Amino acid sequence: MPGFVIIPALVWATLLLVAGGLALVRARDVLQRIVALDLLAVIVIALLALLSYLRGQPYYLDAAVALALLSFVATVATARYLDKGGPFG
Amino acid sequence: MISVVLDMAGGALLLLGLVLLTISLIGVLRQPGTFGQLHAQGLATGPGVMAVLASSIATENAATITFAVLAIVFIALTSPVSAHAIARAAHRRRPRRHGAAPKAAAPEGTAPDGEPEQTR
Amino acid sequence: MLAQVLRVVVLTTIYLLALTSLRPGDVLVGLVLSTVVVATAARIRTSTSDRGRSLRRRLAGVPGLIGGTLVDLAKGTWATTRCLMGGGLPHGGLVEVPIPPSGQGAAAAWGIRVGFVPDTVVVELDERKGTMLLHVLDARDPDAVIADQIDSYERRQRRVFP
Repeated sequence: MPGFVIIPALVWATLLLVAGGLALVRARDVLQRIVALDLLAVIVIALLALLSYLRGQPYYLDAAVALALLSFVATVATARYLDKGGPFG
Repeated sequence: MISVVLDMAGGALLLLGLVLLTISLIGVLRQPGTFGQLHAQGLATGPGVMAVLASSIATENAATITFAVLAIVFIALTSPVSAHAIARAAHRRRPRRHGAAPKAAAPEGTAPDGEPEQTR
Repeated sequence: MLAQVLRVVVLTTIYLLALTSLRPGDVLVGLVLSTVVVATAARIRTSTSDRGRSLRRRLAGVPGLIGGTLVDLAKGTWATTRCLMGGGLPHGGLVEVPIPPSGQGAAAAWGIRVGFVPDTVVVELDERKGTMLLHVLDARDPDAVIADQIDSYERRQRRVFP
């Protein structure tokens, strides 16, 4: 993919990351904070994918898959903790 | 010829994904309740990031496309589960507001008609 | 037998995808590993009921399941976008959908297929009682929501996860 497509997309995704930080700060509830953190993880995954297209290195996508795994586990554990008072309760 | 077509398809998917991510972020910023935010977030974790990852077809690099497919499958299987975990926690923390499943103990951090106060 | 072979092939494919290589040594290691895993699982779980009977029919339903879910995804994305860009969701609410009480696999398929689409959020899922609590964008007409869900179940999921 040509660079003149990817560079603006990278700028766009970085701005989205800043706006996601704003959503994290503005969250009123701990659950809304979890939603914002999940969204931030998704934006970082998109950013890593774009970086991988720009550099032509598939290994950034490896990091994206690992980040998806970590964010999934973290979200589920936190939600279950808030639900029942323990991640395995 | 094929390369041009793939480039255009990838660019269109990339644009679609970024627009969906933007709409989702606006929704999360604007919606007051957790359930509304979950609908907005589902827009990003489902179609948004999948469109961005699917635009890897334009790179024409087998390893990149393979990883992207792996990431798409993984995200498609995990994002409903995490959304469900958040929704269930939200439902159980304030069961009275939506009427279903009344519990004996009223949740303390809940305002009479509005949003729950900051609890933690 | 077909089910076992299918499992070995799927596990090997995941292994090779994670490695992103097709070298013969990697294929061999993946085949050995997945054969060991499948054999161990078959040894542990002895009660493999009459699953092989309808495996072909279930496999034939998989493209319909994936394609239908993608159609649902496109529709739900459009509805959610319009709702978010418009006046928000003043009519959002919870709807309880009755699902046919069946095994855990079918319940998991319900949850993932429905929760994947952005205009429905799965709140509670109980496969024993056969109920699924959904949060939808427009809860003014619960019967229409229930009819929609049952219809998409019958058209997409029932052949694969009955």
